[in-house]
Amino acid sequence: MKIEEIVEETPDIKTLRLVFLEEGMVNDFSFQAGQFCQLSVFGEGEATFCIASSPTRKGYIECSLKKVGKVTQALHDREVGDVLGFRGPYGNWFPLEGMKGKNLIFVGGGIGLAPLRSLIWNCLDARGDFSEIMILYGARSIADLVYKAELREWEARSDLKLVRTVDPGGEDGTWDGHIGFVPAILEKVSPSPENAILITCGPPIMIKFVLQAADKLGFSPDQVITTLEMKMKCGLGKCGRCNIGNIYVCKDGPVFTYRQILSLPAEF
Amino acid sequence: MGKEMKEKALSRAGQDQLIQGLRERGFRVFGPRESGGLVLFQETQSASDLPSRYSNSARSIKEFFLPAQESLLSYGVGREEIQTRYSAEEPLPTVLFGVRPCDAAYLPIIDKVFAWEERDQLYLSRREKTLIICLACEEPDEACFCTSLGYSPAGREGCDLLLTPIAQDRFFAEFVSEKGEGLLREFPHLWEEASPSDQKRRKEVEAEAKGKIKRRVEMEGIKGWLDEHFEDPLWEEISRRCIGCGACYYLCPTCHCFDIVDEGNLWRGVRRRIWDSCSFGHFTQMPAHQPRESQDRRYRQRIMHKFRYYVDRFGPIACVGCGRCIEVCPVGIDLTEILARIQERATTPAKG
Repeated sequence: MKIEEIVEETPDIKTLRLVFLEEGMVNDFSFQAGQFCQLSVFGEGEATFCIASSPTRKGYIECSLKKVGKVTQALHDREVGDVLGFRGPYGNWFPLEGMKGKNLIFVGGGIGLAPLRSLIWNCLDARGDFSEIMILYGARSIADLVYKAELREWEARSDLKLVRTVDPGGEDGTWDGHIGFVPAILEKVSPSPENAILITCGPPIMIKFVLQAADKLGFSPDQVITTLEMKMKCGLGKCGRCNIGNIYVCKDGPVFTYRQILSLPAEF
Repeated sequence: MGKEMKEKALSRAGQDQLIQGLRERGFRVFGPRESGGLVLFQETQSASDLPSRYSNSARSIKEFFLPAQESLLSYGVGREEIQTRYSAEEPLPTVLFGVRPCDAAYLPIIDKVFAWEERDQLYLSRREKTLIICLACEEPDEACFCTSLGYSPAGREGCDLLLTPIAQDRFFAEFVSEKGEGLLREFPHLWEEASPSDQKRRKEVEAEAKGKIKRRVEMEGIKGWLDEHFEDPLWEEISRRCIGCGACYYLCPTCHCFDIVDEGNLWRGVRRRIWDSCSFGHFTQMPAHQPRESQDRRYRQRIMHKFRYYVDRFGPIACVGCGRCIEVCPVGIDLTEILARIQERATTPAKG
C-alpha cells in the first residue's frame, strides 16, 4: 500500500494514511472496527497494528504507529508516496450490533485510542443507532495526546461528551482538562452502567485498573469490552506467539469481553 | 468399523526393492543414516544405508514439514516498482523410510494446527506429497516413554505403511492409510502373504519392545491439575535450572512455533519463516510489555501448551514421548520427572 498522508501525532507517534496500489482492492477490501493488520518495510520486517480508521470511511486505511523498535523506526522513516507491505485484515471485531441502542463509554489511554477511534467514527457515522456517547481519553502529557484535531472536533460536538485527562505532571498552564490517571478519572466521572457498554484500550496496566474501576461502578463483565495486545507474527493462528492459554489472540481476539478475560490465565 | 487393514509380509530383499522402486518412480527417499556418530535422516540409495541397530534419529522428522528456516517470499525494490515473488513451489514427492512410530504419531497431532481455518499450504502440501513408511522400534532408548502417552514402539498413528521386523529376513507390513495401500497396488510382486505365525510374531515383537521401555508416567490427573494450577510454586521449582537454550524445542517433534523475519536490505532480500521457541524471552517481548518475564513462566508455557492448552484447543496432548528433550537438555531437566511430580500433586489430597 502507498502512503498518501502522514500526520505527526506526538513526538513519537505518526498516523499513516494508506491506499491500495491495486485499483480493484479499493472495492474488494473490507474490514471491521477492531481488526488488525501486518505492515512491513522490506528488509526490516513486519509488525502488527490495529486499523485506526473507520470501516465507514472507504478507500483508505489509517494506522497509528509509535516508534518503539526496528520496524516502527523504519515505518517512521518512510515518506509520502513510499510503498509498504500489508497483510490483513485479521482477528475479530467489536460487536457493533450488540451496541446499538446502548450508551457507549469509550475509555482510552495513549495510543490505545487508535482501535477505539475506528469504532468511534464507525458509531458517529451512524449516530442515530446509539444512545449517549462518552469518550474518556488520557495520555501521559498534553504532547502525548493523539488525534488532537479530532479531539477538538469531538469537544465541539453536542451529540457526545469528551472527557480529557493527562497524568499528574503532564499538564501545563493552558490545560483545561482533568489531571489524573484514566481509571481514577473514570471513577470520578462515574458513568452509569445502566444500558451501557464500556469499551477500553490502552497500556496493559491502565486496562487492568479500568476493568477494576468499571467493576466498582457496577458494570458487569459482559458490559466491558477491551482489546488485548500480544506479540504476533503470522496472524493466522499458527505461529503460537500470541497464545494466552488455549486462545489465539490473533484469531479469537483481539477483542474480548471482560467476562472472557476472566476465564483466561493471567498472562497478558 | 472401517474396512479391515491389509496385512502382508516383506522380505529384506523386498525392502530394498521397495526403496529402489520408489526412487525409480521419482520419489526422493530419506532414511536414517549414521554420520559422525549421529543417526540423521538423509537421502537413501538402498536399504543397506539404514543403520542396523539404532533407537531413533537424533532429530525428529518435523524439519521435512516445517523446515528450520524457509523462504516465504523474495523481494526486489526498484526505482519504479517493487517486485515480490512467493517462494512456495510444488514439493517433490518424498518418502520418509524408517520413521519410528513415535515420530510418525506427531503428524496427526500437529496437522490440526496447520489445517484449522487458514490452511498452511507450505506444511500441508509437503504432508500430502510425503509418504511415511515406519519401521517399528525394537530398541527403545533409556529416555523413551511413548507408552505413557498411549503410543507404542509398533504404533500405527501417522504411518502410511508400518514395517515390523519379525525375523532376520522378514517384515510384517501393515498398510495403514490409503496412501500406504497404494504401495500394495504399485508393487504387487513385493508382498507376500502374511501367515498367522507372522501376525503372532508381530505382536510379540511389539510386546518385547514395550517391555524395554523403563520410563512410565501415569497421565491420569495431570490435565486436571494443570487446569487448576496456572499459579503454583512448582513452576519456579522445576524450572530453576532451565537456561532457556531452546534445545528441547529444536528436537521436539510437536513444537511448531515460528517467527517471520526479513533477511536482506531495503532493496532486495528474503522474508523467512524460522523456528522459534517459547523458551526464549524475545518470544513474547513487546516494546513496553513482557507477559512472560521470567524463565519459570516460559517453562510453564511449554508444559501448559503441550499438556493442557493444546488438548483444550485441538484434542490430543502435544507430546509423543520420544524422549529427545530429556536426552538433549544440558542441565538435566527431565520431562517425565516433572510430569511425575505433577501427577503426585494431582493424586495426593491437599494437606490441611
